[in-house]
Amino acid sequence: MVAPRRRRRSPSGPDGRPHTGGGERSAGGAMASEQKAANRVSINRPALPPKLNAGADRISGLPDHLLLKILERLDLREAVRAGVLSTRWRHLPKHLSRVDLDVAHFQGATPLEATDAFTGAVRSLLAGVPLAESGALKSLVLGFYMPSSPHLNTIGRLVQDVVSLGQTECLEFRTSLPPPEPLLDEIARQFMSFCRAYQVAFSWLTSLALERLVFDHSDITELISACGRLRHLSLCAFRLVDPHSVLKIDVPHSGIQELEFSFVGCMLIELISVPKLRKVWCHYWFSQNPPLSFGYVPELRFVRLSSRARAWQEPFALSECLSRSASNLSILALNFSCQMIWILPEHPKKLTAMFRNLTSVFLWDIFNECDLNWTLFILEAAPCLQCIDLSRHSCIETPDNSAEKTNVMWEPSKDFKHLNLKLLGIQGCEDEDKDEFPCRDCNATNLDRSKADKASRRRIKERLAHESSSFVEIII
Amino acid sequence: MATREAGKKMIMLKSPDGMEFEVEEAVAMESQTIRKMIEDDCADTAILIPNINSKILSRVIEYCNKHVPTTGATGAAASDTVAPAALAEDLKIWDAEFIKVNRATRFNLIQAASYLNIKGLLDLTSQTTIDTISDNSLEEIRSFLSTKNDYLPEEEQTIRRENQWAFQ
Repeated sequence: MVAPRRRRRSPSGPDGRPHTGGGERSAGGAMASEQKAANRVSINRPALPPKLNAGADRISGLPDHLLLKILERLDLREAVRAGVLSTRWRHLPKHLSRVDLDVAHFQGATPLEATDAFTGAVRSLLAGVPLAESGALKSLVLGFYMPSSPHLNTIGRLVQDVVSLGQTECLEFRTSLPPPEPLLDEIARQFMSFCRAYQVAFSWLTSLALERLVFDHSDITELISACGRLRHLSLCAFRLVDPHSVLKIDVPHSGIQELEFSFVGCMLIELISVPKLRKVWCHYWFSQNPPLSFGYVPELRFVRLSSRARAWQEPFALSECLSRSASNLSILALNFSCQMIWILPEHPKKLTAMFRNLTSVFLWDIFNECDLNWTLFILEAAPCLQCIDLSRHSCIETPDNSAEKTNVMWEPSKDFKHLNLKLLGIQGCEDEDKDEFPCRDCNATNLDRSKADKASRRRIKERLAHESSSFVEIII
Repeated sequence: MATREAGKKMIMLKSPDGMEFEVEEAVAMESQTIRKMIEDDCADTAILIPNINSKILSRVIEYCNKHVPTTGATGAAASDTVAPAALAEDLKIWDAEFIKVNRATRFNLIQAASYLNIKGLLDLTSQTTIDTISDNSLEEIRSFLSTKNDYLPEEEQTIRRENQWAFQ
């Protein structure tokens, strides 16, 4: 391609910079006489000295979308306050693309007062949000207290109006109870009525986090089914009306991808059919083991379980809990909170179907006296495993109702070789580690460290080095 | 138009006031807008950058020149001798000097960064304004930004009342 000959070349000044004339928009004509002598501009030049005359209100001349970009990087209150700068700014807060409001950030002598202030803010931000090609409200996150019927109705109506514009990409509700409120099933019923009354709003919900509610056994399935766009559901400190019953989740048509349970108050969570589920977290359960049972979950990629074993909880086999349908599982993370190991080593063959694509395993907070050999059963069951990370820490404190810590014994197959493992990490064995991984529960200077620790580490290292024919990086 | 100079592919950028800037393709592609033009093969001849005068365009190119990732033979040499953290620190200092411009230039740079879609430059140029609005009273912000309050007193009161939560 030949360059057009008529192009104008920019002249260079003594500093190698083009002369641009006086004004911001210097015309090419003003430079016509200098053009012939000009060479192409070389770009590597020092900065122009700043002009020191800017008095005019240049910022208000920027288009809306740029002013909004600036406002969106501010705290929401500051962005709303900026609407009072001048009439030019007035409509901008209604065009913010992201609104995130949490009742916990509102002051009030009582939770009711805080909720009043919160609802007032929701009203002022959402009432009359316009339909706009650019500057539409795309992400709305509301964290509010239960219960408060009149407030819920206001919120429901406002949200419904906003989502009806059809421009919402992310809608998230987080509910909690104001601090002194006890767990009441009435409050969950109120939430379920809220969901039924504002079906349109809930059908746009993409993320939902509920705290300290007591559900009927069918509520969660109903909720997920009602929220057609729901991707993430988090239930914290929840229980069922009858805590000895099973929470069954059967949502074959739902696109939900992530389920997070903490402080589980039911016998078992049975995931009967959750076809798009990718990630599951379960922290602290009080029921018999296992806490979860996986049914049809073909998309499952990530499972994280962490709990401190109670006296009445017996260890369980992972094959009892995981599902054969989850053949794409790639990350498994288990945290034992320095107490009894709540899984049982089992014959690798029982797990081969489930661990076929497992690439990373994290076994954290194994109590210090525990032998580590048992962890090799996972290695044997997971041929594609690339990374296994173990961490040990020993608290001298053992909370009430804890299960007795017994050593876990397991003998790996004699001719076992692992071909794919690339990284083995064992943390928390050396004394100096206590600075790096301080314990929140015990005095880190007073750790009860096992004398057998070093020998155990050496054994597992030798065994792996001997049995693995691949290049394994071992970080201990 | 694309030419080659010392083995590097060059791109010609034209400002509406008639200036031409020859820059390395990699530098020009710091702008997502230009990158898309190049990738879509719309960059055969010189690329006209509308609405951005030569003074601002030259500053933009200067920024891109500094921020283009150092790859290839020269880049490898640079990163062998200088730690990434030190490079980042150097860039920060350079950015701080770069943005010492008057308000008019800064707002022109915001517009240019937005049109050319250069995220780093947009962040850098917006940040001073964000800092100005953050943690200052409305009067202070108006004075920093030279924005005149053209509300009638009762109008301003109404807006304050409507958004009372933000003023508490």
